Amino acid sequence: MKKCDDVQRRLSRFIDGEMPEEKISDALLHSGSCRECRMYLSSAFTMRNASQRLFSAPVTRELDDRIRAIPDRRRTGRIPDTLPLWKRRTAIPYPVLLAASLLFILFGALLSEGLLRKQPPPPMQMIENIQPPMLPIVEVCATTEEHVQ
Amino acid sequence: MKTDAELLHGTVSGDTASFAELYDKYKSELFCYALAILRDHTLAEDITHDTFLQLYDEGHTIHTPHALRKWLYVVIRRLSFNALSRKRKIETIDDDKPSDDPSPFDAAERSTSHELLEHAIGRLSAPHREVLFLREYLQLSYDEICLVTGSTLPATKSKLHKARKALAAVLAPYSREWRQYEKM
Repeated sequence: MKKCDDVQRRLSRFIDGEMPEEKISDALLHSGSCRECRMYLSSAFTMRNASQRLFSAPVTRELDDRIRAIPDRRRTGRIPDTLPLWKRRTAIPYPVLLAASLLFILFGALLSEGLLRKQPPPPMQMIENIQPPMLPIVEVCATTEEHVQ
Repeated sequence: MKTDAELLHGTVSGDTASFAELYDKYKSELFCYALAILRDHTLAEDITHDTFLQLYDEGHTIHTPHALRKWLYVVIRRLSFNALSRKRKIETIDDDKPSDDPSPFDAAERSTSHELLEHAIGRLSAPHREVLFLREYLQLSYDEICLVTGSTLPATKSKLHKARKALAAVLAPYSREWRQYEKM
């Protein structure tokens, strides 16, 4: 039932101290007469009280010895290195790597723009203002005399 | 008493005593976390060993030493669920179905009400067991559970509610015995 699900959601928050008792009084009243909601509340509180016994388990002596021996076993090579070489040798923090990558990209972009940029053609007005060189007067006269003769 | 940052620094520098101290500090909660997910002592031991092995190998990559506990929880959680997937269990990370424990709870064989609750826990799916473990045993807040599991706050609240609902559903058939247990 939707009402029971809604009541149980509110009870869940109440169990975790997220809802004050005065705001949940109607839900608590409902659970008094509803078997399903009563079971929900009861099992949740009992789980809380029993959780330390339910979930705890001792660590065995074998596991203790196995884990404490990790540094020695690594040094003597009895545990093969499972990490790839690049990961073992690289200890650069990620922010430094990111900054270096951005600088590299920026530098590359600036460099490529400088190499590929073409020289702009001279504007047309500049070409029109260029005067042809004047021939020297002596040469012109010599050319005229030859024609007369 | 040394802080986690000092112990981590010592471990990374090759100080065996620092590593041993870190292990003593976290071994119990990490082993219990793996056991809560896997429900298999041998596998939980292997996963706990692999977690500390990863700490020894990759401790230098931890840039927030004050969040070492969270790092350890995240690693053991990932290793545990990977192991669970490899074991081809019925429950998946997104599956809310209870585990198909083939052994029915025989009232004649039950000796303690503690076993009733243990059986009920075993019938829950791994994600539900996990969230109950984090909330009830480790007493993590909602926000801390979100950090460890990578879930959002509404999803965490919903998962906790569903876990409690599943627990009540498993215990409901034994309501007569449950009422006797409640009186204890």
